[in-house]
Amino acid sequence: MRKQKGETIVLKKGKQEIQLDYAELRKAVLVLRAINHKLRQRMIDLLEEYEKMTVTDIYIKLRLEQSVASQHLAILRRAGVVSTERDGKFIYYGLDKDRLSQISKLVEELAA
Amino acid sequence: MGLQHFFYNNFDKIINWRIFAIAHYFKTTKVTSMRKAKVNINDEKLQVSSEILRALAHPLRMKILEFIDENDTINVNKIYNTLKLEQSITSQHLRILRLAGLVITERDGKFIHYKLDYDKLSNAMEAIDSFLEQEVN
Repeated sequence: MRKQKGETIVLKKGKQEIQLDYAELRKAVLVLRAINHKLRQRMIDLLEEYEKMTVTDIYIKLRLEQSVASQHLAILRRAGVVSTERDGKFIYYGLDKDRLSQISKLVEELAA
Repeated sequence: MGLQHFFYNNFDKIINWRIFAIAHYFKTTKVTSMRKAKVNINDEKLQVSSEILRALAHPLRMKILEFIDENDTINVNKIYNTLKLEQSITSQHLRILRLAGLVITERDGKFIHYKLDYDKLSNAMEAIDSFLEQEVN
């Protein structure tokens, strides 16, 4: 997959070349932005505790409007932090622990 | 019709409700005890890394980084003159890059020179690249 010109820069004067791709950086930004939010962190903690929950379980526990809960869950889902699973007429949300530990590793390395 | 009477007449309903509540309690706590270890993300580090990513993921700041790289060290005037930007805008973006630790400043008399922190940049890009690689799998 070759990157579009103009969206990628290469820094050449370091020990090795460093390539920065705007589209790639945006992806990582969206992931960190998804988890860097107080309410969404509460959702993560809640799912950590209960493993599997429906939107209803979540918005009742957190005393939110359903639309607000759905919006924030969608952001977490796009970042890959939560995944959904259909069971009959219910849709259950659960944490992707592997994804979370990947994010944790990214944060540790970036902040090093 | 006292309270006692009410309980007596609705005894089965009340019991049913309590059994349901107890069952629900066990349903939710059982999974809790089986869960994997909690993934902790340090908040301070999350702020630091968000700042770094935010600083990098911006077309104009990328252009500024590229320009500083081409010139080793450079002062603000030359950056905004060459890239045809306003000075205030240039300074603003340089400030974001500096606070994220991606560029370093050196004062030389009345000039401030900017240069890239290559270690920081390559460390950051390595971390980001390996994170994004996992995403594909």
